[in-house]
Amino acid sequence: MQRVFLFLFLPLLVSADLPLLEPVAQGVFPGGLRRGSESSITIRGRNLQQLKRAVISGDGVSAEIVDASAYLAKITVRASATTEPGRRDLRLIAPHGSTLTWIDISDVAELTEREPNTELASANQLTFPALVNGVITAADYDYFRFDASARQTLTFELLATRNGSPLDGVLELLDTNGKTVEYCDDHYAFKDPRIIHTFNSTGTYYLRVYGTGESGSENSDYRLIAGAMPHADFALPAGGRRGSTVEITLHGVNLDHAKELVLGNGIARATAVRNDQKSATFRMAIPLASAAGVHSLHIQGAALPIPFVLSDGPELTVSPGTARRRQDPMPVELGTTINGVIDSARAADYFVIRVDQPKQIVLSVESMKLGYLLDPIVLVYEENGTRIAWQDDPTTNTGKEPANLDPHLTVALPKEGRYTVAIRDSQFRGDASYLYRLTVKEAVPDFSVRVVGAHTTLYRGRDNIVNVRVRRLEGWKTPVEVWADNLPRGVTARSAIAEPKNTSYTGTCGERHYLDGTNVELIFKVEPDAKLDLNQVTFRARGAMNGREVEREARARYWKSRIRVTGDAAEPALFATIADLPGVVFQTPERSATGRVTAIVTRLDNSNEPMRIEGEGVTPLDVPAGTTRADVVLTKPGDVTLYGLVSGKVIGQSAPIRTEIRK
Amino acid sequence: MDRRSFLRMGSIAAFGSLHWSDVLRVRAAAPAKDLSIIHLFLAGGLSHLDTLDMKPDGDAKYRGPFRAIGTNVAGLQVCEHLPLSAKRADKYLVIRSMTHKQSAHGAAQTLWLSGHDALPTVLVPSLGSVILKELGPRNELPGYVFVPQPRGNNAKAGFLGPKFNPFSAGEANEPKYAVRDLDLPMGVDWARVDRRRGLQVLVDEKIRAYDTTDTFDTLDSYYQSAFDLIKSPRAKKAFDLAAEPESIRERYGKTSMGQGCLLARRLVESGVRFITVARGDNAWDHHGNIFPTLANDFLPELDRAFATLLDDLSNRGMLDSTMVIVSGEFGRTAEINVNAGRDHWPNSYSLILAGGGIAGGRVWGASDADGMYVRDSPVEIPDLAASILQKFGIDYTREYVSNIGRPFKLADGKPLSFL
Amino acid sequence: MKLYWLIAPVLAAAPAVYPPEIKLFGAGSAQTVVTDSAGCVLAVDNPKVATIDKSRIVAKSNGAAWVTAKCANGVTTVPVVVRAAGAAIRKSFVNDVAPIFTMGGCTGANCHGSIRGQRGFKLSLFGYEPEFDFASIMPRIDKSSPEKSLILRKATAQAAHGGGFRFAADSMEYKAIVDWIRDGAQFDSKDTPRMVELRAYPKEQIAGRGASPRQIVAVAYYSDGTVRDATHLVQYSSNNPDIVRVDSRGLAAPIETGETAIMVRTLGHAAAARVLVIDPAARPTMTRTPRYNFIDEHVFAKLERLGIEPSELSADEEFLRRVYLDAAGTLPSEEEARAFLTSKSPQKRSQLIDNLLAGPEFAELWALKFAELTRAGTREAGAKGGRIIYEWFRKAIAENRGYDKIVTDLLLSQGAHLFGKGPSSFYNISFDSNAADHATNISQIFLGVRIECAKCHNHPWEKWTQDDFYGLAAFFARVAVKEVYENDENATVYNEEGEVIHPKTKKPVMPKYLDGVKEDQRQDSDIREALARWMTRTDNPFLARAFVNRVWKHYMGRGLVEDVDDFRVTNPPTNPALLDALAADFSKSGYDIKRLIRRILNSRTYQLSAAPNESNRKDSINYSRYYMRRLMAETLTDAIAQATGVPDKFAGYPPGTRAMQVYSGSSYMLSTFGRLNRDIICERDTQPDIVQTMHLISGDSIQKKLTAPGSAIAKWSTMPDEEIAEAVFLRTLSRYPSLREKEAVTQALKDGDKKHALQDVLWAILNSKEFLYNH
Repeated sequence: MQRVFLFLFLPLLVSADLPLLEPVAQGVFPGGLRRGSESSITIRGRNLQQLKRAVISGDGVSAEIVDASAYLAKITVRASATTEPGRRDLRLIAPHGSTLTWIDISDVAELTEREPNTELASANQLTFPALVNGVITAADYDYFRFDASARQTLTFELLATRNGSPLDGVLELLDTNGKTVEYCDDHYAFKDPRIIHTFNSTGTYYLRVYGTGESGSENSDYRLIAGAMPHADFALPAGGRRGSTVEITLHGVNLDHAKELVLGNGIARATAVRNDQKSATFRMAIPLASAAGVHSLHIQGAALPIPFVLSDGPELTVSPGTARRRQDPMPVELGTTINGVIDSARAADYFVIRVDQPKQIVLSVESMKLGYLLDPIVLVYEENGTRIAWQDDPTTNTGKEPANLDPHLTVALPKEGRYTVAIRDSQFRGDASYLYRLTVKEAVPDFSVRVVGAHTTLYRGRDNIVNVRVRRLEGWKTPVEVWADNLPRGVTARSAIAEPKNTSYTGTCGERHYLDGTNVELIFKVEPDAKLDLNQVTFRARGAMNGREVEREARARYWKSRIRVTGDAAEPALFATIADLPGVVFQTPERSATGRVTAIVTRLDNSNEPMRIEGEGVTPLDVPAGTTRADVVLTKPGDVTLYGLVSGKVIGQSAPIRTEIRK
Repeated sequence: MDRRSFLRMGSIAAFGSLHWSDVLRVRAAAPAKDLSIIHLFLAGGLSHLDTLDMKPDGDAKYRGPFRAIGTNVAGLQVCEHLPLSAKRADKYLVIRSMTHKQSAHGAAQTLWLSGHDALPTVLVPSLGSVILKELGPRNELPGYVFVPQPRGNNAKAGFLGPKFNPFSAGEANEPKYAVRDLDLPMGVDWARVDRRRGLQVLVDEKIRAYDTTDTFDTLDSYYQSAFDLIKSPRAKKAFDLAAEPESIRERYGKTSMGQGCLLARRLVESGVRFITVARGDNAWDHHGNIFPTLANDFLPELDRAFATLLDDLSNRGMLDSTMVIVSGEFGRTAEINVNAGRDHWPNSYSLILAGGGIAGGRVWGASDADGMYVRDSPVEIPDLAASILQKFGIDYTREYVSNIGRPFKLADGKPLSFL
Repeated sequence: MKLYWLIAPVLAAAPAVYPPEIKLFGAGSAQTVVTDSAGCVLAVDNPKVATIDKSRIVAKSNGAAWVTAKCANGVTTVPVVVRAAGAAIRKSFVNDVAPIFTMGGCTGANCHGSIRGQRGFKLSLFGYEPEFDFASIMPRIDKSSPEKSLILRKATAQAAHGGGFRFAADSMEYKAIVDWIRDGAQFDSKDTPRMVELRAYPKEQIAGRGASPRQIVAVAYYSDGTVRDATHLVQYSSNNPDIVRVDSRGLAAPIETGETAIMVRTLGHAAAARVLVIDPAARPTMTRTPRYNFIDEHVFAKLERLGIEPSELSADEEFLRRVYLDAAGTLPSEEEARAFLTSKSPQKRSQLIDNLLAGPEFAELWALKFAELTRAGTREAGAKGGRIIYEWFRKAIAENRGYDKIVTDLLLSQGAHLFGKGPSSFYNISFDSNAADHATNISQIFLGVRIECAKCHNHPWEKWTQDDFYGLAAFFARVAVKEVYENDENATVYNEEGEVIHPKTKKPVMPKYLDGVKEDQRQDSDIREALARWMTRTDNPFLARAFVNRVWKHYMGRGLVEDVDDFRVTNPPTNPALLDALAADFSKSGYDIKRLIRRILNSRTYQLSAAPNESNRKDSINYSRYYMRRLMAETLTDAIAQATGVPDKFAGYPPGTRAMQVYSGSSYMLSTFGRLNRDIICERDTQPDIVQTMHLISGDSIQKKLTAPGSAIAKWSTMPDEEIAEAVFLRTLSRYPSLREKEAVTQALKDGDKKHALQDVLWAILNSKEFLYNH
């Protein structure tokens, strides 16, 4: 998918010296469709030429490629009326590689903005519930007009950066004569705005959408969700034990309309037992057979899902404010997962645990992982109050790769006795939606393994590097061996050892930082005659500590949640496409106004014969083997493609360059 | 500077010992009064290891892809992407032992443009403003011009007051370049200007009596000099780039620095004393992808602009009365970072000085094998500032008292005798 | 005839003797005495206790007595107490010898007090480190024959000395050093009393221009309660030598009318004596000016003492335009102007003030000033962080939230910069966010104290030491910026660990308030809460005074203390009583900002006309009239848009945004007219310069608006000729045109193209001083 952002994480997969050849999806517009409808969706990106198949996870939704060129592809998507709403993986597959992005299935009709709508007078009319797809170019303003009645609460939510769009959007609510009533630039991390407003007088109002500082581009698409539909900020508890019946209370606005709650793609259903404007309570039986891990809850008619974790340990729900006194912390058994909310500034929740002998315990928090904006810090005190351990972030976040603010603290309790465990926001903030799941249990050294990215291309006759990340948990201290399974014929990859030391890298000012885990490189050797095909490769890791053998399977992960957190792909395997390297790769601009183009040339056919560059509307040019830059003159407007020939044979071509030759 | 490092410099590779003629030429430089300065300010930081202080046999891990090429001065090598400048090395001095301690843009640029370290509560005046205050403009043209316009406060007059701020010339590489507010607006002729000024005086009759601190007289004097500037044929000519033949504009290069240097030469001819030519906003700050950016864009632009400026000035006999400085606010790290760029590095970097009576064809000071630290004869900016003020005939030991009462010497260092 | 210091109106009061109570300790101790009227005769009622030697009271034996001063305007007596008359005072290096080097100028920054010393002889700057000076001086004295000591031969220029002659061989200074050397040249023992306070007398005096010099007396108070005459131990300097010149003996000569302070300084202590110089010839007829509130009481009291007559009350037109521009940053519309000028209601001025304070523009103006003060929009929070802080201030000002609560929220601000709720990126105020920078900026904007001078050495004119600086910095030791989520999402956090290391002692520093009380950093607690409580206590000597001074400067053109954030003993306010009254009224009212501003705007002082009269023509610091000043960049830009009827479009901001709402970033017009780019915290410069003038003459900020379609000119050109002048003047200058102005306009309209005529008239008004200046 990787709707790739400014900082590419993808290259971790492709060895550094190769230019990017795999398909990349940068924008999906419109970003979803209503159940029981069909929609033509445009995908903008790079290397999209020759896309053959589009596969959507889950059942009830299918897609087919209509046409595909280097920078643009069109697909038709059909969703059956009964399929489950929610976010689905969308894989785009081509002979030279595949990519993974996502698409939303919802109950709300998808509309598209109608330009011109750049002033109050020409505002598009909104009828609720509305899901509008639009684009903001530089200094563009999209106005929408709607009516609201006194005491009505409406939500306006803009999905842009969360969907990978480069738009840094702003929402402004204006009164009838255009004066700003409320504005929001960033409600969430990652620049997406949200306004929830209760109107105190009936009348016509306007909504203004624009890029912050009048930024924008033709790639800056957005999805605006607006209306009085139920909107839940969080669920308490935020998880439940498999095989148990859980009373889940959702908190938000307009929840008096929330009738039915669905877990995942239909794993379990529940009807509301209690409703009011601000909350709705459901009693849901969780089947024992359901898969542990992060799922999502959908309220019928709502636009966005709420994360929900299926676990195997005892769960405890702490209603806000009941564990706030340091002097008498709430007693908790080891192995429990506590669901709580830090709802006021400078507040902390305190719990007390008892151990009958020195013991190593782990405090593991899930909050950012579920898309909540709490920045948790956990602290441990002895009975006399001295602090013996604390942790804010497992490692420094430098933007080099996805951040992780959820602590994972392993601490050795020196002697038997009672210990106080505290959790609060490390920035002393508080908010009704700052929800956490804190698991306090005896440390059982373990490790997790994941392949970095969900897809790659392995080139025949070459060594291809695949990065796998091993993250040591709860005090794991020994090496872990990592290897790849079910490799296709003609592909071999020796296993690699992940030493128990986090991989380090240097920051921009030369200081040393550490990743949250150990990266190991598996070298995939592909025979020249291996079959050109798409295969699903899985990865496993094995290690032993304190006489205990542990083996884990890796899950492919990518971006896909309310805030930019990696989530699990539908299929755990790595989609590996075996392909041939082109003889030459041209990196050229998408457009040229003057017909004079500088192409960056990378010869991969390791021959030192000169190459001739030619093509329809291209002034032929001969360049010696070592050339890295070729200044080419284009002679005819329209889409012009450069072909590279060595001794008369075409060894590679560029993406089409849209040329207008203006004098 | 002691004699020792001067002599030893002579022994570095055979590039000709210093003759009496060089020493004489130094003394014959322009008398202080009509000296001018053009400062090519490479804001963002020039990577000295890839341009002026190359280490062909240094550690491969730090070496960029550029090859070093010889110049018309034996023993002096510069980067392959500065071919035109290489052929004119006899006209300039390369200092390879510049050093200071400010690694952030703001603080480093304040140190560079003013000669003083930045202080949290005082805006120190830039060198251009000090020279403007001490010597005043030569004619109705502003005495200190910044091409295109100063970014922060560090190029301005600070506590000396806006009277000595630089005049912003705007981006010289615009297709129909014209300086801001220098012409009468469309459709307004001098007759209507007189009518407007008459009405202005009438409206102000009553309030004029309110002024007890002659602020209004000062304001009137500005109106008078503004109209003089708008009326002045000299000002029109100075800023009229279109008057230059296309061949000259092509030789300078149709770039920010190229057209900026051409404009600077015209301004010096029309009497402006201090001109800073910069490009964009810290444009040289290449934390990523530095080598293709330097090779394909920045170095060719600088090379053509600087080389053509040297030729133009010497052909017009202006080189001895015009000092040209080519410098960033610091160098860049030897270690190449993860994004294939180089980061900030003030401990040792290089710059070029030409004209204004400074003998060319020389190198001063040296950095260590990896170009990280100064090996000998370090040069600090306060000393450079003192040297410049002295060349302008200004007593650099005098003090200004800032608005918070803290005294500031015009320059904290001592003049460098080798300039 | 010797000019008397005193002027008729003041003579009535009884003469004053300084110091008001005299204490003498030890044999031979004496105190210089001065009176505030010349020609007084001094006498001591009990000569056994103390006697008079010219103007010094010399101790004879223990006991108490009275000193009487018989002067032309009456008699005053002051008590004198003598103790330990018998005991010879042991010569102390710190109290007797070290101050001589400060008084002599040796410890100045350009001599031995500079960082690198001079010719190898280094002393601490202004003698703030006696131990260090003792060690430097010891190798330069000759115990066997004190007169040959190098230190003495240099000071008396017997030996070649770059600093030249300092004092004579027969001077008190020379004798004090020789006695100390004979006494063994010892450094003080642990229990030697140390100077704790230095006072200068008289604290405030009025002098006639050209009168004969008067002695400034200095008195030193020591840790053991003893008191000594320090008149010959201190260095004297005048803040403004053009008004009062002072010599090294402390004789102050009044040169020119005006007001300044004489600084008295030694051993790192400083004190100030204010001198007001008036024109003795001016004989104002003192009519009693009506006072509206306590502000007028204080202002007019001082004017009367100075014999300065305040100007008349401002006319309705003047007041209307002035209060709109000062309070709301906008011009009144034509209709608002007509309504006010024709209204007969006696409360129309206070009513207008209330309306303006309730309006959104008032909140936007102060939000912009606060945003500039806290450098909103800089560093990595960028424009988005700037908008969050601007909107937070705008809401707080509109809701009239207490200034103490605003300051507390800022000090405790924390959290993600871009999607935080409150002013979470406030700590971007510091250039590279370290504790020392936070102390510098926060003390400057909230406490009005320039403490950063004490970062590297003790403050040259104030009592702030390095310990004070690092004590305040320690409150911010744990404030840091952390990256969350991704590289341009940052958050201010309060870490669990971290402290400030003192550069000299290399040891961690305990947080210490400016009044010396220490605070300990307890575990799991945010010590900034304690700092916020200390700063917002009603008796805090800094917060309220600094803020009311800032507000006073915005409305009155000049701070009671100038520069507005440079409170120090040696830079006293021009009206201390008024500043204290304003600060007390403000803090006791619960730091109510609108109430403070309402009081100022409703005072007669604010509503005085800007037209000077004979007696107050020279005054520029006592508010005898409204001081004219150029409009703030944002106000001027919006006024031009309002006057021409053509709104501005600011890059990055939605159409219809006014300049006052541009929370960060700038435009050519705004930067040219003084808007700061917030690199550092400082005052705006309001002096005119040529670039501004050229922009007003032919820049597009005016020219484009004169020719734009749908402008006010288009509206006027459809009106009958005779109504045009009034409409133009009411819309631009909020007043009716004079007869000659009306004639000039109708003449221009007749001269040809009507549109050109209107453009020329409007150009003339927009370039007029009446439009550019608030008056």
